[in-house]
Amino acid sequence: MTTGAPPPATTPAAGLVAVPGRPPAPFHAAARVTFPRLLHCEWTKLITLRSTVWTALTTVVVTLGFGLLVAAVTVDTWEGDGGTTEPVLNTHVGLYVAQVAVGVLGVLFISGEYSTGMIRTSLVLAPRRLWMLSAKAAVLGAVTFALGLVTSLLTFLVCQEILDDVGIGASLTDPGVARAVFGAAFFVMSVALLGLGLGTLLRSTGGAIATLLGLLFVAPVVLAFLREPLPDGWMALASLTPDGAAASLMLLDAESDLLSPLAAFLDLLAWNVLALGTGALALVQRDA
Amino acid sequence: MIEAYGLTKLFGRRVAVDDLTFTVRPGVVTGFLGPNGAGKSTTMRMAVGLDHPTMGGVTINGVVYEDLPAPICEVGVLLEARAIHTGRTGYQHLLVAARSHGIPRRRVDEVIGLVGLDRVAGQRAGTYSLGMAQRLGLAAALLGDPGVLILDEPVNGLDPAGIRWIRDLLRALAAEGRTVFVSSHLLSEMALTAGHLVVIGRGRLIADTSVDEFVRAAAGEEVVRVRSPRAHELADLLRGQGGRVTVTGTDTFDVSGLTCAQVGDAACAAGLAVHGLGGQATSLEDAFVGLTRGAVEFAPDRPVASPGGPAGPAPPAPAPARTGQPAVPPAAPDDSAWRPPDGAGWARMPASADDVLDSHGEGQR
Repeated sequence: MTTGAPPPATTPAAGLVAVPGRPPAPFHAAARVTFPRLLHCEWTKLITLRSTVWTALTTVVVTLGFGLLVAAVTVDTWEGDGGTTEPVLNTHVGLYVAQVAVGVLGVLFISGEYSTGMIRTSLVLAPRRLWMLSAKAAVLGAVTFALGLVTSLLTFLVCQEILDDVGIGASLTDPGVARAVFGAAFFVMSVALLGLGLGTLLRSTGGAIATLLGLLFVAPVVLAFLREPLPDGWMALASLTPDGAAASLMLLDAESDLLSPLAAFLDLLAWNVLALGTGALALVQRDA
Repeated sequence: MIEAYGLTKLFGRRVAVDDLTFTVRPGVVTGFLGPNGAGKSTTMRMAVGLDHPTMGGVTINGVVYEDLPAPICEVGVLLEARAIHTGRTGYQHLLVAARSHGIPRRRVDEVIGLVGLDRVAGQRAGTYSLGMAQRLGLAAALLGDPGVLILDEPVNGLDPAGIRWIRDLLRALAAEGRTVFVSSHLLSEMALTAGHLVVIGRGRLIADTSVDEFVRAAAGEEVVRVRSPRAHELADLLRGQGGRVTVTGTDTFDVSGLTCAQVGDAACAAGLAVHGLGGQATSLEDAFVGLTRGAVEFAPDRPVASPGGPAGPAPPAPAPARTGQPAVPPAAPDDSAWRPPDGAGWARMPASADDVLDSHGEGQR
């Protein structure tokens, strides 16, 4: 605002007679809360916030940018020794950064309502709280999956063009590549839903983001330190973290201490169910 | 029609609402009155399913809020605290609400016009003054054209013109046969707006009566103001004669239960000098404070003296309205327990241009 104060609200003292009288307005006949309408409502909430646009842009730009960098460096230093390069995982290294943006989007989608008081409006509109949260999760999930897919496809296609210069580009039809690209999109969606679940559970933006970052970044590091003292079976723990599962989804040559793609998919699903489930439980039981 | 039956809410061991049973009927504005922290907001939040009652419940037109198929077309809700995402414009806020119920867009434009927000509907709600936010909340409450309205301190933050506007709007809505349930901590405001009163203190029902009856009962007793250099002795003397004494200063006190003549005669007979003596009919606010004194959550250490000398029956007296308010903001878990006394400003019934400008000035952040 450059002009300072917003103009004062006008006072239509005479306007009050314009209140539509009883019997009620004609739109009452069709007015009722339905799940599709709640989806529409949550969609409207999501697209009317600037943070959504910024998060989407950040995700695409960061992922593509890091992908280009990796592809360029790979081509530059390529010595033609025929080793594998993991065309999806390596070019998607930017997701490691972009996941923060997506996770914060998920957290803010509900914690922003708690911090501003909007949650009271939301629950007055949709007093069946599980419906409200389900609609939120469905809309956020669909939007972030689409975002993830666009990001992943774009990054993959552009980077493979560059890698083709030295003949190591992969194609979507190569074995496992389509799975890896879709896996990246699924991971993006999972991080957003994880954020939504944590935001619902903890209500506070700061607390939920801290927890999410702890899970994404700190947990793998701590588990890596524990590799030495712990027996072999425990080493798999690191691969169960969201980032571990994401790597498993995007790897083309499976490594022995990582999950299979299917197990990684189920693992991410389990994280989402856990976060959203506990969040839903808290939402239903607590006073808003 | 709103019906509360045995409504009880505990926050830990603190009883916020204690076995409330009352009915709010259509066709008349019902004031929901009580000191800060009396449980008004909690009761209203329970009515719309935001808080879960510990015991008892509330129905709206015979149905629990959660079970209404189109809640906002049945009940319009304005809660005391802001319930608006600051990142959305006023228009977008209403659009979100409309889409959840399949309410057409033109109804959004309609309510924006109705509350006079046309000029700022495209601005983000974070830039709104308290008054504008209240208008937006009211627009959201009216969006579904509901037959029942639950409004928590709707005049809070409005300028004098806005207050009159709300008062007329609420009366008009009730006249159309709607149920209008409005909370306030100021009896003077409710005496002007409401036809019926539900009064609570510390979560308990104190009165459920028409405003006229309440005012008649409340305005009955005379209070005698006394100023005397030997106030202590005189007060003791009057206590002995059945007076109820409230000390208001080192040499002043109020007596109720005795007439002016009785006090003067007693002082004369005892040879005690009296420097000031005056009768004053209990104002509405005094009556309200007296009625809810035992039920005030955060009372100041001693009563605040009303300024001004003896006066005829002149409700509403402004200053005592503050008596029920805390001297300092207490650290209360219930946010309804303390609000900045901005709402108290309009108890003065300001009508000067300066006051109006002040009210608008709060938007200039």
